[in-house]
Formats: sequence, structure tokens, C-alpha cells
Amino acid sequence: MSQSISMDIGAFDINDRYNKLISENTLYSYLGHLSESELDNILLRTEKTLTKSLSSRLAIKKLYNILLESIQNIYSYLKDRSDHEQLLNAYIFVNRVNDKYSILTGNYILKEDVSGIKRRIELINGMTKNELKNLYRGVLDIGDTTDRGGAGLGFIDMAKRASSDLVFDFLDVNEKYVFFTLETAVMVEE
Amino acid sequence: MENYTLTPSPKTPRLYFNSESGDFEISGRSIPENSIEFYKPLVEWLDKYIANPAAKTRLTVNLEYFNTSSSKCLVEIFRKLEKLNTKSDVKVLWHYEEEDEDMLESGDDFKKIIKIPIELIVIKGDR
Repeated sequence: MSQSISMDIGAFDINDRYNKLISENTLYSYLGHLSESELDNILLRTEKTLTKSLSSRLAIKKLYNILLESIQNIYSYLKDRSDHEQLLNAYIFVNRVNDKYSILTGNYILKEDVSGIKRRIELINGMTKNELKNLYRGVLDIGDTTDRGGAGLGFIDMAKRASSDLVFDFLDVNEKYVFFTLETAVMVEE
Repeated sequence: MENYTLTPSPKTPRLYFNSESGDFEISGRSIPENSIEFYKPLVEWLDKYIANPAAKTRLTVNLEYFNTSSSKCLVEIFRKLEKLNTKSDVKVLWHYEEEDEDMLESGDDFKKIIKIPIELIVIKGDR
């Protein structure tokens, strides 16, 4: 591995990855920092995108809710970080293949947070809709002390609305960071 | 005691809390990044209201969107209202759009964990 004065992020290239993910299925995509004003802008534009693509108000609501949680999850995770500039970059995609809509996000996280996130999503993926409902109620009722940023309820909420498991991956960046990708899909009947 | 009112913004709801009549309303969108900060003044206002409430308290909740951090704040607000139980006839009117299973389920979630009456009210047709 090469050493340099600037942050060494190995062979990982977010721009390259982002560009490769853009396809004819992409309804919306964003790559950059998630400042508060950017976040507002993204929410406005994604809502417009969904409104244009879908006629069912309830389908729009479902997808927008997932978008909200995933983007705000990333925002609150990165908010208080003073990492190297390039590590604050994130991407967001809204994709559509026939009746399947998916929200795909990618952002850098600390390696030490991987096991917690992995455990949480695997637990959620192993649950039935009814178990998810009960877990959601439980966390709402008594809270979740292990959770710093509120992502606890966020993942559960996304899984509740999703049509299939949350698809996640952790890509190697360097000894301190990994790149976390998360995809949530919804089947829309119109 | 003064009323607590707030005009809505793209990410925050209309808040209308009338201390005299006990008519309360949260409506619109509740999707701020920092919900705790947003709801803090209201929660503090409720503490004062609880000390001297109206005979009847009706909280209308009519939200198009709310994020999970807002849902935690709603629990906190409802728990404040639980304290009114003997002092004021309290009820929450949770509105949901017809066929919006998610919003109906959310109302049901609160109903299960909050010890005051929560009525689930369907809004029919287009808004």
C-alpha cells in the first residue's frame, strides 16, 4: 500500500463507482457532500422525481419515506465528523426496473462501526413483517440505548416498508474506513 | 398561559396548541433532521399546560410524513398527555389517508404503547 500525506483511500474510487452505477434505470442520482442545504435540495428533487414517475400517492409516500430515512441516517452519521473532505462524499440513487423501485446509498463509515451495522441489518433481514412491527414498537416504547444517531429505528422503518431484504455491502477503503452501500427495494403495483 | 403556535415549513408541521380550549393540532410534515430540538419548546410548554389544563384536551395529529426521529418525539408528547389523565379528558385523534396502511399502522403502534385513548380516523378521498 502506498503512503501519502493526504488521506490514502487505497484503490477505492467513489467517482468511478458512481459513474458505473448510472444506467438507463436511474431516475435520480447524487454524488457529493450532504450539508443541510444539499439535503433539502435532494429531498425536493427526489420527491419531484417520484411524483413524475409514479401516479400512486401511496407508492410515492412509501418510497419517499425510505429515502428520507436513508438520507437522514447518513446525514446524522456524517454530521459531526471532521474527517478528510473526500470521506464526507456520499451517493444516492433512485432506480427503477419495471415495477421495482430501489433506493441505493453509499457512504464512508468507520471500520469500527461495521460490526454493529452488520449485526443490526442481519437481525432485521431475518425477521418477518410481524416481528419487525413488534421490534419497531419495542424501540419506540423503551428506546434504544445502544444507538447513537437514531439509525436504530431508521433501518427497521426502511425494512418494514421494503418488499425484500435490505441489501448491504462494505467495501475496503483503508485501515480506518470502509464504504457502506445499502439498497432498499419496493415493488410498486400501479 | 399563552398558546403555542408555529406555522408550518417544508420540513416541520403546523403546531397549534390552545391552552384555553385544550384544542391541539400537529399537521403537515414532520421531517426535521433534529426533531428533538424542534419539539423541545413544545414539550416544555406542555409541562406548564399539565399544571393547569383545560377540562378537555383533544390532540389532532394529521401528518403526511414523519421521520423516525419525530416518532420518538411524538411518544414523548403523548407521554406528557398521559399525565393529564385525571385532570383533563384527553384524547388523541390520529388521522390517516384511506388505504395508507403505513400511517394506520403507525397510529396503531402509538395506541399499543400509550396509555391514553387514541382514535384512528380515516380521511377519505383526495386531499
